[in-house]
Amino acid sequence: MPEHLARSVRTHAPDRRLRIELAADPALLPPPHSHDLAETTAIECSATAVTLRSDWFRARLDPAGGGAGQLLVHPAGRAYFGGVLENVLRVLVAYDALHRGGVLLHSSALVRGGRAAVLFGHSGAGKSTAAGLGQAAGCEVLSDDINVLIPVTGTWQAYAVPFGVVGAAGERNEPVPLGGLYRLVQAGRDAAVVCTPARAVALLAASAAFVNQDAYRAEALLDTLLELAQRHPVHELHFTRTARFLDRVLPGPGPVEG
Amino acid sequence: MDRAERVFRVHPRVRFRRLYDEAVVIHQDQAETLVLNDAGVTFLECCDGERDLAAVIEAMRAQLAVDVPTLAGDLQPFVAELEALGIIEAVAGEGR
Repeated sequence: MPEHLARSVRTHAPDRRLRIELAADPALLPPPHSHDLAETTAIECSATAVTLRSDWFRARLDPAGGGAGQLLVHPAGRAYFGGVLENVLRVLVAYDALHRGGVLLHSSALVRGGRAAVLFGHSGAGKSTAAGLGQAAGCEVLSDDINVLIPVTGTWQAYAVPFGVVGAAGERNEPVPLGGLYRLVQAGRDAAVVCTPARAVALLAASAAFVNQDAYRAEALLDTLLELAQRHPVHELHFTRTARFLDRVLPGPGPVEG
Repeated sequence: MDRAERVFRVHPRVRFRRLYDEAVVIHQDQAETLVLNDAGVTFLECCDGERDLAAVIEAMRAQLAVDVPTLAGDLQPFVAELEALGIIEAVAGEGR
């Protein structure tokens, strides 16, 4: 199991259960010696289930909260089990967030002064760079890859998840109030430009991993993202890959040297 | 068959929603999104798989108060772009 999934988490009773079996199911084949997990995994959605499948594993999840899931893996796939489990958990968390009126975003989340700035964008936009710069400047990093945003009693909160973390992140069990949403754009100068509601929703939807491909939950996703964007307007953050952006997204006690 | 007789529909894997004077469009096959202005989403709403382009232009002309030649000229590259992105697909007419 990957080390970052093996951390103990002090939590309440489980919200979901996932039954895992190594099964010589005739429908499953031994995995090839070399493969790309992401490229060989297909997601199929229906009104009642979400299925992840490849030649050598199959996971069936209940997209509604509280349901049990099942993961079948060909016995010869043991070597890749950790990666498969992490992928299944990512999808499960994405659907769980949507069920709770929230969203899982491909993003970095930085915390300073008790508030979280969530930075999102396409691959290569600078999410990890921003997380590293923020951490070097004294911010806490919730995750540099995936963060969950959920409304709790009218306030949007950012939750750490144990995927793709840097440094000591991922240990936090308590949510952090959302301070702002920023879509990263590499640029020659630092600036923040507010988006229209439609653009905000479009940008958020592009980073709402997994559920943005689900036709059965498109309306729920749009409802959630519109509510989020109305509460926290999205800014396009023109970013020079220096720490100067921090003063725009999480104003601190003094200027950050870039 | 003339270009104006082409009939388009919104791709079954595309969802869109008006938000004020714009619209957000999600193509769920590619998990890609885009934003259309009022005229753009009016066109998308007219892509019902039944009306040909000439009828769509006539419907838009009435809604947007634009003359037909201007609208037809503006729509040509826009339609091509939406088709290339897989947002709409031709169900009848040239290129089908």
